[in-house]
Amino acid sequence: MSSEQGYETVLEIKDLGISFSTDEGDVRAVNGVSFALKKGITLGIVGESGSGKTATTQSILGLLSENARIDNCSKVIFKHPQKGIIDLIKLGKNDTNWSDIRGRYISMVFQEPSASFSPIYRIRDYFYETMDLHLKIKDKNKREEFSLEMLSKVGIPDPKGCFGRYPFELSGGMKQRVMIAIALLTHPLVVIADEPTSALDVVVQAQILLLLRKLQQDLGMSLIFVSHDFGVIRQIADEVAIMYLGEVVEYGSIKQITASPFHPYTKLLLGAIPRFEHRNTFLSSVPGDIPSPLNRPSGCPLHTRCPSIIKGLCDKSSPNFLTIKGKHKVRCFFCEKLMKEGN
Amino acid sequence: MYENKDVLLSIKDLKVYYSTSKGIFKNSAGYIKAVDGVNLNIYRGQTLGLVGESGCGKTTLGKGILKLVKPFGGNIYFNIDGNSHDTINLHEKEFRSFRKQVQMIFQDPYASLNPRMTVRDIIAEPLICLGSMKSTNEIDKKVYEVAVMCNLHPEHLSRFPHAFSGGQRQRIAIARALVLNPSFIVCDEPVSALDVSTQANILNLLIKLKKDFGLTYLFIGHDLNVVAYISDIVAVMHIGKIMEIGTTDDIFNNPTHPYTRLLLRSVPDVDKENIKKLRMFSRAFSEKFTNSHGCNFRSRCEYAKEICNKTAPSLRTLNSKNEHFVACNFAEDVIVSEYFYKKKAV
Repeated sequence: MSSEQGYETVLEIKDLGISFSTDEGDVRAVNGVSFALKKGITLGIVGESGSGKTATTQSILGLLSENARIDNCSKVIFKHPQKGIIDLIKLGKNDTNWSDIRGRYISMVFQEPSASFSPIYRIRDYFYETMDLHLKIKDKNKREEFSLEMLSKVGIPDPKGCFGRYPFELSGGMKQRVMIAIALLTHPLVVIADEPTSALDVVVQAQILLLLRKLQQDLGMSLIFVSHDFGVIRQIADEVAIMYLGEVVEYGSIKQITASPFHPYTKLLLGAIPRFEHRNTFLSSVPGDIPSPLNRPSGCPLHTRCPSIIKGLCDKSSPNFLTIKGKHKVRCFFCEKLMKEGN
Repeated sequence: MYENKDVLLSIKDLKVYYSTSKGIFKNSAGYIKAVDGVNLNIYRGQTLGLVGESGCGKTTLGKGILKLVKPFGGNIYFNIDGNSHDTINLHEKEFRSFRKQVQMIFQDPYASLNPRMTVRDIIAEPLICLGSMKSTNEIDKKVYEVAVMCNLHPEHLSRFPHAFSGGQRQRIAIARALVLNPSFIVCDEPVSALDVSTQANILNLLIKLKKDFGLTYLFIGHDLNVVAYISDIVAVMHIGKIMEIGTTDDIFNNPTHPYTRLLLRSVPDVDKENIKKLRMFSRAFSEKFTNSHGCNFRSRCEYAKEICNKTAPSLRTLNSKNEHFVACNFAEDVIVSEYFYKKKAV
């Protein structure tokens, strides 16, 4: 599978399961998620809040909180350019390998630009820190030259002025761009962007999307882009995974999924997007509320809200992936039934 | 078309300024003009959508209508029973009777509900403060009625806000706004903190309530898809001023202001990859800039010429129907280039 269409897999997640132990009981945030990220490809992850998108991405870099427990069978396999294959789940908190991976080969762009900078450091300190740790550039002029080049690449109008400022002196869009610049400074193999645009205005969002796409082409990196906005995912992703209650329910290329979604949940999500052409009609909405993760429904997780439920099957057993065409996979009994009838 | 309709709320030259301070003695250093001379008519039974980027003053305008911030100048005429009342110059006591008619739904349902009050108390509070109901039984009955209308379960009423998800909290906030039977509701980004599926729920509920009670909304939002979906008339705001106003069709199909065009081009489409190339202009946003003369969009505008530095364009109409107003010196040029853009796209 790794050499499919000549693309090389850089990161592979196998059977990832994460539980958080809380006062009220165990919360199963991620349940058996698997996907492979190929070189130069953007993978979009879409889902409602509470669907385990963030927990999945955080587990890759070992950023999960203390009370998280990862299943023993879970694997996050990363192809390190020098050290070969490493299972990131098996690395301990203080493993020396982390400093070589985190921020060097796998970087992260966080959701809230204003919350992810410390207000007491200037922008240049962030750049110097990254260069000290990962690129070992000690020469002051070289460091400055290198960072200013990156800042102008992400479209900061006055890189030199921005360099000496504090984070609170910059607007939200600027901060997000600076964060992207820092993340890309080391030319990483994988960039994980966790809702990088959801706190921004549409115009700035469009600029950031264009920027990420252009930089990705220039540097040939892979991107994991997490979002709840299908429109944004459509603009940037090549492949997309739809998540619901910690499970991937549908996976495929973005064109396949937006043009012909199979899973009832994907259909509901796409139908819930308000469009100018469809006004004066009610939006389709997923009926009911997302179940509490404390008591996950048995069987298919969607069966409590699904419009095309098969009674006696969906609420008892969990469906397996069914390949529809090429990469397009879906996990649903109703779709299986439809396919059988079609054939 | 507009003249025949019943004007519910008429905003004339509304100005809301925030003073800024400087130095250790907090000397007044000038003003930030959050809303700078806005004229708007809101018609009974219609939804006016207000769009703009963050910091353009759209929330301040909504708060100014309710006098939650004190306007610096201008008038707001509110039409009740055929009589027009200027609410800005009313005394606090007289204004209270108008407050029953105007309610607000706030942006963040996690911050707008008091965590120490039960849902029943939250919904009943307006009735106690402004309503005429005195007996507990009457209030309970009314609260129950409104809660059911907003798709809340009766057993939810005795719980506290922390037990609810974002969508449920926003439904509680809607119930609180509805309980006094208002005629006008300011919805300040009611869905921007919610997921797509919950967002659809709330939008459907707002549309249903509008039909059932003949409500009028001012719908503030930054998501153009949502605003287009819910609004009859759309106003586009940029740094305290209305740039373009017209029917939803006019704004979305024939934008005539460069800013409206920029906004529309930036909206990601679900069906195709539409964000390809944007004319990127840096955003100059400083106090000095808003205080200067001229069009406030000129630093980001591809059409800006010398004249835009000197005079701020006022709203003018381009077609004979008097429905579509734009504040731009070069609106005609925009129409021509939009025509060629669309032709190319087809």
